[in-house]
Amino acid sequence: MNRHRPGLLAALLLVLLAAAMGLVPGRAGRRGAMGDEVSQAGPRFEAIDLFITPTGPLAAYQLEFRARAGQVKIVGIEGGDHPAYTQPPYYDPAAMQQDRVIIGALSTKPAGELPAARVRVARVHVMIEAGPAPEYEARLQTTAGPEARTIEANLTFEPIRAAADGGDPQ
Amino acid sequence: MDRPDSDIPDGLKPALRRLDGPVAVWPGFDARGLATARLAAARRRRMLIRGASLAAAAGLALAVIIGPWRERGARGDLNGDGAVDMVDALVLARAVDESKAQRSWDFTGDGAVDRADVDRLALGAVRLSGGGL
Repeated sequence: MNRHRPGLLAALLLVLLAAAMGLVPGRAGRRGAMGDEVSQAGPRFEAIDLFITPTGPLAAYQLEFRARAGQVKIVGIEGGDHPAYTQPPYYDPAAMQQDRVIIGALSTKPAGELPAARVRVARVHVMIEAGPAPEYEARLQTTAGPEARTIEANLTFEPIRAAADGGDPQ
Repeated sequence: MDRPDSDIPDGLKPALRRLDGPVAVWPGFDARGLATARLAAARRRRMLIRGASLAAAAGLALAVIIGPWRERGARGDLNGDGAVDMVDALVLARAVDESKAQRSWDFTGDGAVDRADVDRLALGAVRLSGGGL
């Protein structure tokens, strides 16, 4: 019997090892499932594109953007598409982690190099906590032409859903 | 006393007959009433003057306190439209580019009017607590 003990021990170890190996994928699977639950119930990210349609060359704008419903925190702001507005706009750093921001930008380029039609001027990145679907509102505070005179313009925005892991929207 | 006696109870008739005739009024009554009325009018006038003085003093105090504050709030309103916003920053940026900036537009206080002042003005315009420098 004593001779068989090392063999028995080895067999027992093998069984335990196999059991352990069998458990590892199981745990990983559960972790993945839990991760999915967290990503579904936890925060998600969204980007909102802000568009201005000016009635003439747009040399400056200032607008207010806010979330009026949902648990939304602003986490980033970037510039727009047009060469005159690719740089991040001016904003109050205190707006980060809040649900409201005032954004503005200007360009001293000549009128011919300024956008005169619908243009994306900025993109606001937000983090949405679990809860009701967010609702946003944005309003123009001022827009001006190259001579620093106010011009008429319209403001619109389009939310873009991002991947749950915070991937790049688009 | 034009009513016929028949309408008046018998017990009341002697008393009413005693009242008939000239009514005696104490001679000092009119003078005292007039004096009281004059006194009340004078008191009202004094209170009115005192109230107006207080209101004027309060207005003056407000002007002294709020005046400089409003002036500070308007600092940066380069186009004079009553608001400090991105259009003012554009005015300043154009003036800097064209070397036409005024010395009073040195918002950073570094002795020069340049792009840093444009940034300071623009950041003041988008401040969440209200536009201004």
